[in-house]
Amino acid sequence: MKRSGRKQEWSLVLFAFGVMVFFPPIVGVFNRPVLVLGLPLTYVVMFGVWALIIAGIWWGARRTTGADDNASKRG
Amino acid sequence: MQGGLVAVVSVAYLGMLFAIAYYVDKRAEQGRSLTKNPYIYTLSIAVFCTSWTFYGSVGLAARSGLDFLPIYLGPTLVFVVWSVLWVKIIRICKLNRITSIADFISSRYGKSSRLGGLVALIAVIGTTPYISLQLKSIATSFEIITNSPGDNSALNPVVSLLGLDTTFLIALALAIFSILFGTRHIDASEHHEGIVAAIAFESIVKLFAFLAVGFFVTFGVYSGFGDLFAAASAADLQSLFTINPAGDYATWVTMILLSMLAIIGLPRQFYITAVENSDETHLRTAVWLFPLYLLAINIFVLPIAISGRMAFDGLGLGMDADMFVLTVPIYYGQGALALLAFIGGLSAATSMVIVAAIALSTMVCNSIVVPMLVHWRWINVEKRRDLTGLLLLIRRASIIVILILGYGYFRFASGSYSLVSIGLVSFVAAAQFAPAIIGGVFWKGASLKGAMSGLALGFLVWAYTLLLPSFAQSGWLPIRFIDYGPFGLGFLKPYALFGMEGLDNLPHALFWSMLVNIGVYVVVSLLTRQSTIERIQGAMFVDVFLYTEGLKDSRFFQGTASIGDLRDLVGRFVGERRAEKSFAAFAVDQGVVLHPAQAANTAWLDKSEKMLGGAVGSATARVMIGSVVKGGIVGLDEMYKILDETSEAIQYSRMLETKSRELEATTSQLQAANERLKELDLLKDDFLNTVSHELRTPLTSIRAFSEILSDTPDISVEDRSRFLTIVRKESERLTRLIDQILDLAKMESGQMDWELANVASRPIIDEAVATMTALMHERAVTLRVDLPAGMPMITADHDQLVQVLVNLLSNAVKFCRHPGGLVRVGAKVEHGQLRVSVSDNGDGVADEQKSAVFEKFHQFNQGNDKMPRGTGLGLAICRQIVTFVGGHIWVDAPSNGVGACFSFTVPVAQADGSVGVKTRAYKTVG
Repeated sequence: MKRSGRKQEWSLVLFAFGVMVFFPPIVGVFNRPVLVLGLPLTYVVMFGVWALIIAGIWWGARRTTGADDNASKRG
Repeated sequence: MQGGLVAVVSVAYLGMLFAIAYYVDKRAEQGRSLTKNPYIYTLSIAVFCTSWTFYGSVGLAARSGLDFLPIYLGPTLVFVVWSVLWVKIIRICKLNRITSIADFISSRYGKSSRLGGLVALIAVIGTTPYISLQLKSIATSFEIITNSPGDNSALNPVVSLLGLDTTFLIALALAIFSILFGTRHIDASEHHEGIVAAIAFESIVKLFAFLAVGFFVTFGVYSGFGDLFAAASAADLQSLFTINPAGDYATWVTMILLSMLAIIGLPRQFYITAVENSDETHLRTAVWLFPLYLLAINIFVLPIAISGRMAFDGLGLGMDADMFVLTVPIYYGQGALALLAFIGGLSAATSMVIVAAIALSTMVCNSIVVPMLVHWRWINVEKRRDLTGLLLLIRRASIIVILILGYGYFRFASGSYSLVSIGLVSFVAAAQFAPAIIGGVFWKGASLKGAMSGLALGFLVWAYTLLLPSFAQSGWLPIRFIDYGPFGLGFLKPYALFGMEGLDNLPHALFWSMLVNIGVYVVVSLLTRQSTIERIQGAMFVDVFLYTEGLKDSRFFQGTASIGDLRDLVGRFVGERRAEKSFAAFAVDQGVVLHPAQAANTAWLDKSEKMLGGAVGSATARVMIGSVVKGGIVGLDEMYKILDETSEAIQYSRMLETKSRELEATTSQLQAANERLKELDLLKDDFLNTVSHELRTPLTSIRAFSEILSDTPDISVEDRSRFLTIVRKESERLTRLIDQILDLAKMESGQMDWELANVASRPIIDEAVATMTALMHERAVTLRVDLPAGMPMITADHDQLVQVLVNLLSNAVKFCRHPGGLVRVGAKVEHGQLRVSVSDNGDGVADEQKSAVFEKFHQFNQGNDKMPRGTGLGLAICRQIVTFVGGHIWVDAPSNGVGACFSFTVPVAQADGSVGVKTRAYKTVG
C-alpha cells in the first residue's frame, strides 16, 4: 500500500482539528442547553463535526490512482 | 413476556450464530472465503460496541446527557491517523505472525517471554470486569423482558427447569461457541473466519435492533427529532442536551483520552483489527466505515434516553436507566420490538465475550502456559512431535477459566455498579498497554526494562485505585479502605491518592496509572541499555515500512537490490569516491552504462561483496550483501550498528589480550628481576659474613699474640721470636686477603684495568714456576714442568696469568701433604687455544665439589686444623681472570686417578698480532 507523505500530513491536521473541537475550551463554546432548529446545539455540533471528520477520513483513504502512485515511485 | 419464548428465541439466535460460523468455516476450508472483504472486516471491528454501548450509553445519557460520546469520539480520532498507526501495527503483525497483543508487545521488546506473560496476565485480569458487564447485561435484560407487565413473574421456565441461573447457562453456551469455532485448529496466522463472520453478523443485528428502537421512539412515539426535543424542553430535561451538566470537562477529556488509548490497547480490539486482518487494503474502507458505524449506533442514544426519562420520571418506579432500550418499548406495549432489542443486546454482549475469550485464551496459552511448560520442561519439545492437541486443550481450558472469572466477578463484585462504570474499569486496564505499543512502534530506544516496569507499575496503580475499591464496595474488603485509606493512612485513599481530591475516581485512576506507567517507561528506557535483540526488534517495528516497502521504492521487498544501493553500502566502508570509481570502472569492464536504479545482477553482487570483503572481512560482507538483497528483517542501519558493536567488542578484547600479555611478560620479568635481586642480596650477605669471618681469624691471632707479648715482659726470647713470626705471618695473610678481596671486587664490578696484549706463554709459566720453587723445596714437593717446544703467543694479561698459575701451584702444593708429593705442569695447543694444566697427587676433589671450588671463600676440608688455611679466594680469582681473557677453567681427576688436575685455556694470539680486547690506559696494582 502506498502512502504519500502529503496524505499523512492531512490526516494529522484532521486529527488536530478533532482534538481542538472536542476538547476545551472550544467544546465549551457550543456546549449550551439550547435548541437550534428544534435540535440541541451541542448534539448537532458534536454529530456534525463527527460526520465531517469521518468524511475527511474517507477522502484521505480513497484509493488514488495515477498521480499518487507515480509520486511515490519518484519519491 | 413468556420466559419460554425468550429462551427459545435466544437459543435460536445462538444456533444461528453456530450455523453461520460453521458454514463460513466450511467455505473457508474449501478456499472460498466469505469474510475477506472490507465490510465484513469493518463489522467485525464493531465488536467494540458491546452491551455497554447498547444498554450502558443510554443509561449514561439519561443521567448526564452527552457524556457517553467520548467513548466513540476517541476511537474516531485514532482512526483518523490510521495511516500513521494502524497500517504500521497491522504490517508488523503480518510480518511477524503476531497472534495477540501480548505477542506484539513481547516481540517488540526483544521477544521477552516474561513481558508477554505479564501482558497476558494484565489482559485477563483487566478484561474480567468487562466480561462480567456483558453477563450482567444479559442477566438483567433477561430478567426484565420475562418480568414485563402482564407476565407471570413466578414462572421462569429456564431457571426452574435446570435449577441454574440463566447467566451461567449463557456463559456456558458462549464458552462452547468460542471453543468450537475459536479453537478448532491451530493456525499460524490465527485467522478464524467463522468467528469473524459470526461477529460481523452480530454487529448487523445489534445495529439493526438499536436503530429499530430509536426509530420507533423518535418517529413512532414522537413525530421526529424536533418533537422529541421540544417535549424534553417542556419536561425540563434541557440539561441532557449538553456535556457533563455537573461542571468542568475533566471527566469529558479523560474519557476521550481513555477511549483513544483503549481502542489501541483492548486485547479483543487488537485481535480483531490487527491479527484477524486478512488484507491491509481493507483498512481503507474500515477506517471511515467503522467510525460511521459508531456514529449511526449513537444517533438514537439521546432520543431513547430522553424518552425513557419522560416515560418513567413521573411514575416514580426508579427504573434502571441502563435498560431503557428494553423498557421503553415494553412501556409502549411493543413486545416484538422489545424482543428484538433483547436479541440486539444479546448479540452485543455475546460478540464481545466470544472475541475476548478467544483473544485471551490465545494469549494465556501462548504467553503464559506454554512458556512455563517449556521452562519447567514439562513438555519435551523434541520428543513429542505433535503438540497441537495439547495447545488446543490449553486454549479450551483457558476459555472456560476466563468465562468463570467473568461470571464470578459478575456474581460477587459488579452488583451495585452501572454498566458504564464497570466497563471503564476495564478500559483503564487496557489503556496501560497503549504506551508500550505506541512507544514501541515509534521510538526505537524504548527498552524491555522500561516497558516491563512501566506496565507492571501502571497495572498496580490501576488495581489499587479501581479494582480493589470495586471489591470494597461489594463488601469483599472493608469499606473503610475507601473512606480512610488502608490502616487509616489518609494519603493512601484509593480514590484520592496523595490527597488528590476533587477528581472523579476514573480521571483520578487514569491520571495516576498513566503518570506512573509512561513516566517509568520513558525514564527506565533512557536509563537502561538495549540488548541486541531488543535493538533489532525495535528497528524492525519502527522501520517496518522500510523493510517491507523500501524507503524509496519497494524493490527490497521483491528481493533485489539496485546497483545504487550496493554502491552506497560499499561506499560507507571503502569511501564514497573509491566506490564510485570502482563501480564506474566495473561498468566499463562489463560494457554497460551505469544505472544506479537498475537491479543488480550477480556480477554486481560479487563485485560489491569482494570490495566489502576487503574492508570488513568476507563473512561479514556476505551477510551484509545478503541483507541488502533479501531486504531481510535486519536493516542496514541495524547491521551497521551491530557491526560497530561487534568490531568495537573485538577491538576491545584484542586490546585487552595484548595488554594482559604485556602485563604477563612484565610480571615475569619483574619476578625474575626480583629473584635475581634476592639472590644477589643473599650473596652479598654471605660474602660479607664470610669476609668478616675470614678477616677476623688472622686478626684474632695477631691480637692474641700481641697481648701475650705486651702483658708478659719476662717472656723468653725464643717464644717472643716465635710469636712475632706468627704475628708477622698472620699480618701478611691479612694483607693478601684484603688485596685479593679488592681484586675480586674490582674484577666483578668490571673496574679492573687489564693489559691485554699478545704475550709469549712460556715466560709466564717460567715466572710462576720460579716463584713457587722455594716453597716446593720447603715442602719437599717434586715439581715437574713438561712443556712442548715452541710455545705459542697468547692474548692475555701477563701479570694476571702469572697470578693464576701461582694460585694453582700453591693450591697443589698445599694439598700434597704426603711424602712423595708431585706437581706437574703441562701445556699443549688444541683448537686454537693453549691449554695449561697443573696436576698433583694430593687429596683430590670430590665430584660434587668440582664446580663449587671456584666459588668465593670455598674452603677445602674445612675443620681440619692441620690444613694450612687459604683465603678461599684464589680459585675464584683464577676463574675471573681466565674467563676475562676468553678461556675456561675446570678441575678433573688426572689420568691415574690420584689427586686433582686443574686446567685452563687461553686463546692463542691471532697471526696478524691484533689484540682482541681493548685495554685501558692504566694498570693498577692487581
